[in-house]
Amino acid sequence: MNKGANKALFYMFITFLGFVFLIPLIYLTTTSFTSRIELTDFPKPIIPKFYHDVEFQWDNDNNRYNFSRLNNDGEYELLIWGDSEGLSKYLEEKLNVVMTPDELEDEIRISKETGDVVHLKLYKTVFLNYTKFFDVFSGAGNAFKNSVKVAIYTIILSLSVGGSLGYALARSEIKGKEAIGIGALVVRMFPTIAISVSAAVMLINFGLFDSMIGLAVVYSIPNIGLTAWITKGIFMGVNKELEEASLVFGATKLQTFKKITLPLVLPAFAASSMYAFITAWNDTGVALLLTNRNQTLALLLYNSIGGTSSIHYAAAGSVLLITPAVIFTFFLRKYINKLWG
Amino acid sequence: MNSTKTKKPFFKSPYLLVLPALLFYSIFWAYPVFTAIREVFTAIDGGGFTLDNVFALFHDKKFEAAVTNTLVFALVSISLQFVLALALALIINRNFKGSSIFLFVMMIPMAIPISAVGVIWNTGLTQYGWLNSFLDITGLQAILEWLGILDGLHLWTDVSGMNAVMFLILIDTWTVLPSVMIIILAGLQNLNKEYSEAALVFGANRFQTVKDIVIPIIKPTIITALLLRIISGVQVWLISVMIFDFDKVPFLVERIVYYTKFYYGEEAYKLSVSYSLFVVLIVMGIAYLFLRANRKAERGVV
Amino acid sequence: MSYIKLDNLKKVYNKTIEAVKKFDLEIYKGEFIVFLGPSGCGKSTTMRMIAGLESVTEGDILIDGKSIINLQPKDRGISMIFQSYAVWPHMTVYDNVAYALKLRKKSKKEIDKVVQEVAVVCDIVQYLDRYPSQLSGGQRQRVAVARAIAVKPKLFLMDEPLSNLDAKLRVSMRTDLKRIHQDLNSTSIFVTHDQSEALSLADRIVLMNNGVIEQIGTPNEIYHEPDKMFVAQFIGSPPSNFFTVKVAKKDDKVLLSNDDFSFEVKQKQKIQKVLLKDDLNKEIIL
Repeated sequence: MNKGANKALFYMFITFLGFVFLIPLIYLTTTSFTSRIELTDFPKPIIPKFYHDVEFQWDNDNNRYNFSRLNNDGEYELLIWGDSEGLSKYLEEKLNVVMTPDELEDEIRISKETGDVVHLKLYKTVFLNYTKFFDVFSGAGNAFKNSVKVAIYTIILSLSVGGSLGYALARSEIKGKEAIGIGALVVRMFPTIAISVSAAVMLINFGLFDSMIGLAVVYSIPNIGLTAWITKGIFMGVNKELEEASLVFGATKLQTFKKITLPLVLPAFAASSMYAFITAWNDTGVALLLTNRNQTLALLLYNSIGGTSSIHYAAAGSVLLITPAVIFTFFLRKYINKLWG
Repeated sequence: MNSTKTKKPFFKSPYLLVLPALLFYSIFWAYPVFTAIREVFTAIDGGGFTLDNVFALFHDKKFEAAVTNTLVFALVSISLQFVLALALALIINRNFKGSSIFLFVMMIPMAIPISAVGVIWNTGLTQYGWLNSFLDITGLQAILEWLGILDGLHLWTDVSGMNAVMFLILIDTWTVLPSVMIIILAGLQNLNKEYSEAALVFGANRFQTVKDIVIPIIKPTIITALLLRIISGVQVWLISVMIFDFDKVPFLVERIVYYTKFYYGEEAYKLSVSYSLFVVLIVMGIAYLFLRANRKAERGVV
Repeated sequence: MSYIKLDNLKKVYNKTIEAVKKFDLEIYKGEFIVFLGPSGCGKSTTMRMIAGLESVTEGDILIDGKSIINLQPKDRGISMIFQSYAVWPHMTVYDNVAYALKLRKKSKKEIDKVVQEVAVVCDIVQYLDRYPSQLSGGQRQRVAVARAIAVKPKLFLMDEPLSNLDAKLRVSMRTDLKRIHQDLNSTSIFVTHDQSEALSLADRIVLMNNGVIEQIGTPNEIYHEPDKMFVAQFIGSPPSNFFTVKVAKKDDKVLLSNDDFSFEVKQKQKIQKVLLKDDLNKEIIL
């Protein structure tokens, strides 16, 4: 067997695989940079175009500019006519090109003067969709803040309650330790959405319905169990003798915890908080059932599906939604294995 | 504990650490669970114990379809994902340059919120969506048309019934396959390679080695992965709703959301609680079965 | 006529790391060969090449005159005991020993007969129904041995099989292994870094260092007649003493002397002549 060929084949396969899994995401990102007018282009490009080839022609009879754009078939298609002011608005809405009426007038005046066609390459404002997202979907700004809030609450709740439980399970001899351990395992898998209908009743009774704290409580149901499980494993791994040495050498229990134990278990806490974050940040179903007006970003995005004319904004919002999770996953790589093994 | 028991003040005892969790779960978990149980078995008008709601559940118009779809989805998707993930993990199971980047790339779909997944496939599967664009650009469209498989630009979302479920299984596989693969990969890498080598020396070929040696030894890892996936699978609803809309392709949790959000009144409420309890029972049942299997598999495997 | 021939064997990793630089050896049927050397010398790598678990970069391996380097491990007629024993944890002891036979499609009766036989030989009869996790290290090792001899191989490979045992067991298992080798009339290659094992077990020792063979010889030869500095240094417990001396001729006597002592070479003429010829007035190591 030719080793070199084998190796090459392997790398090709790997690249192909990676690509296949990335293509939908690539298209999503591209869509997030697409302007309204391009949504109806077919086929959709993999790499977004960052400019438009356009033509302006002064129409003397009607006293206006005719605006055409190069389409996929290679033809300049007449889209609209109007004055600089109207065109400037159109350009921003439909083509993601931001130009004041005066700037536009400067560029196309020549057509008025000479009667010739003016060819231009108009550059898009790249992240326009992202900023527009917060305008188009009312409440997007608040939804973003809500998502951050609920994520933080979930992390705090999970780490504190779950962390202490994990430590107790690892280090102390309590009656019923085994039962508690199994309990932690069971709640980890609990179908939160299935309990949400009743949880809604509970939250209403506690005055926590439609609040981020209420959401965080429900998100924490599985996450406390998960955190307890992770931290238990880590604490059991931290050699007791390290702590005992510290105590022998004169440190108090608190000092020992701060200086010796904590640094060693920090990775576990990091992993647990990232998991808690992702649960809270990504969830749609539970939020749908437990909130009304205070939406999370994921919920907002879910509600925005349906309008085909605003897909590009939805795409931008999706990318925003995905980004934190992806960043955390990047840091989480190593711990995912530990979790299941 | 030492034999001479010194009385520890309560606030120093380890029970203090367990207390918050115990409190939390007795309030925030037990409350909803018992509420659900009570609601299901109480009559609508506040009467006494009744099985009416259970009957209403079983006779609900789309109950059968929801159960069938859910179970088919859960079982078929984990079977498919397991086989593919195992195959991929075996192929990839070596340290190659760029392996950590590759794994990171593979993990990205897992981190994507479901609603974003919905956006992706929603926009992709329309007639002028990006899937057809891709087929067009790469020339595959032409090939498939020539082969007679496709007839013009296909509207991918135009499926129903079991086909729709299969469709969702494929999308789910895209989202989830990398994470299953990574779990199995982790199990493989923890496996002492001398076990496989011994098999090769004593007469097994590659396939037999995997079947007789590798898989049995990494069973606990596999069971954990499958368990978590099947539990997720049973709760499928969002992706179906985002692509096909409510009520078209029913699933158990889809029913829960449907009756909660689109209906008012006691009857619908009872239905959604009944569906909820049903799902909880299914999930807990599956968890129990798997954990039993796990305990069996761990015996003898050091 | 040699039974096993290792011809100019070379193993390179990643185009840069030469684990085995040049290995030439002929083994005769029935021999008990020991690959001895410090960690990293290439002894295990060589054995794994013979087993087929590592590919050969250059050179050839022949059994009975036929090259085997393109054969799968299972087609080479070999058997192996791994350092970690590699006894499959999910199978009972019985199934472990029987696995290879099952793969060869032997009948249930035949398998049972063989398993019972080797179980007696290795003293594991009472463990046949147990799982490896229920056994001690020494017991697991015997299971590994039983599994290896059940297939009646042409060649026995043993990769540091005693290294994980406690001292007492190590010595007693040593004898057992040699006895099994003799009873089965097999050819064996044994890898170790422990020279006492090598010296007591081997028909011939192959002493390796840094990917090359330093010396091949019987235990006696290696011990008493080291060819090279390395061999002399390595073999012997406690290690040999080395003196740097100068060769001088004084009144018909050949003297080896340094600052601390002077030694008259009274041995045979030949040695004297060699000393006089080659090393006169030079410093040599005694």
